[in-house]
Parts: sequence; C-alpha cells; structure tokens
Amino acid sequence: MKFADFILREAIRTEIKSTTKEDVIREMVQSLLSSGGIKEDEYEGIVKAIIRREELGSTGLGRGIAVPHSKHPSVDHIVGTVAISQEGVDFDSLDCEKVYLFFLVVSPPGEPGEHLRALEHITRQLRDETFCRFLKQSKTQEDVCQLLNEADDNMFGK
Amino acid sequence: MNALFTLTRELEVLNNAGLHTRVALLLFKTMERFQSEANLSKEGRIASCRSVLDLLSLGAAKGEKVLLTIQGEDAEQVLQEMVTLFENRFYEDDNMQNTEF
Repeated sequence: MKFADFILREAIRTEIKSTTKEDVIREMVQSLLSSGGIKEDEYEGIVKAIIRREELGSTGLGRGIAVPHSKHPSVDHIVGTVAISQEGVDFDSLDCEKVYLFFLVVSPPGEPGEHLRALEHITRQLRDETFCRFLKQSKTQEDVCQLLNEADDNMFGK
Repeated sequence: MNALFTLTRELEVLNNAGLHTRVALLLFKTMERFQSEANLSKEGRIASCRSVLDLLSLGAAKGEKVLLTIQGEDAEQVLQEMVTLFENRFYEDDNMQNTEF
C-alpha cells in the first residue's frame, strides 16, 4: 500500500494550531470532512472513536510522531491525512516528548489487513530520520505531497 | 563474566488483526520487565521489541511468521513470555466486532 492509496492530499495540514490532543484529532478529522473524505454527520462519531482508541494506549509512538486511528463503519475504504505542528503537542507519547508529525487514519471495520498495510507504510517511512526531517520542514500542502510521492517511489524507509 | 544467551524462535501471528498498534504496545510494555534485547524480523526487516514504531513497520498480518531473536541474561524468560503472548493471540477476541485496532 502507498500513501497515494489512502492519504487525501487536500486534507493535509501544515502548521496546525491545535495545542491539545483532542483538538489535533478534531482538526485532522475536520480536514477529512472538508476534503470530502468523510460525511458531515459522521464527524463527531469518528472523533469519539479515535479518542476512545487513544484511551486504550496512546498512538504517540515517540520521536515526535503519532498515528491516531480508528475503524469506523461510515467509511468503505481507508482514508487518512497528515498534519504538522511546529510548536509540538503533548500527546501522552511513550517517550513523554511532544509530537510534531501526525498521520491520522480511519479504516472500515472488517479489513484488518488493509489497516495493517497502511500503518506499515506510514511507520516504515517514519523510521527514516531524513523523511521525518523533510516532513517537519514542509511548509505547504504541495511540499508534503511531493515528499509522500517520493516515499511512495521508495526513496525512504528502505 | 556472565554468559550472554542468544535465543531464536519462529513465531506465527495468530490473531485476526495481526501485529497492530495495541499488540505492539503490549510487546513494548512486556519488554520493560526484562533486561534482554529482543528483535522481531520479517523478510529482512528487523524491529526492536522496544520500539512500537519498529514493530508496526513489520506489517505482520495473521498467518505470517516472524523470527524472534533475544540476547541477554534473562533471554529464556523473555522467550517464554513472547511465546505465550503469540500462542494466546495476544489475548484478543477475534469474534469481537468492536475490537479496536
């Protein structure tokens, strides 16, 4: 699986202003809504599902990275987006450090393999420090899209 | 000087959801109780069991096999613990539709 298969390019946000975990999740789900990735009446349900998932264990994986996610019956294929915070957000991360790079994913129930492939692709790139540095430096949606395209072309995470 | 044990074991992922985030967190938390270093590898990619990011990057799905390598003085205890977790499907109920990833 590649970023092109599930990241909604129009939903990508650089320089998000949210300063709390819940607000980051809300801002990112709102970006999915604004770009047509989810339905308006499902917004609150998806936000709550992701927050519930966080309560089972933070997806702040350390090294300034978080992958908030949940499954939700309102989507029939995986949708995701990327957000960057320049200030960093307290996300209850495993290493107790702030998070700067967020990949949010919503998956349909009953497709654990697809969900796993999406997380595999995301985390494979995030293991690459150069990818993380370039992503954090991205100032525009276009910058991020270009980086994701390069990652899809196997330029990172080898 | 104490001998440094290295143990290896091939393990199969048995739960429906595979090695997803909560399972990776479970392995990570398990390792906090031990001194040894443990890696899982799949198709040449190596993941430290002390890194959730690493573990997720394996994308280990149901039915796939991973190679566990443990090195350290409490390697045998780590091996027992890991085998138990894998054999018990990480204590996940595959029939629960609402199991969170």
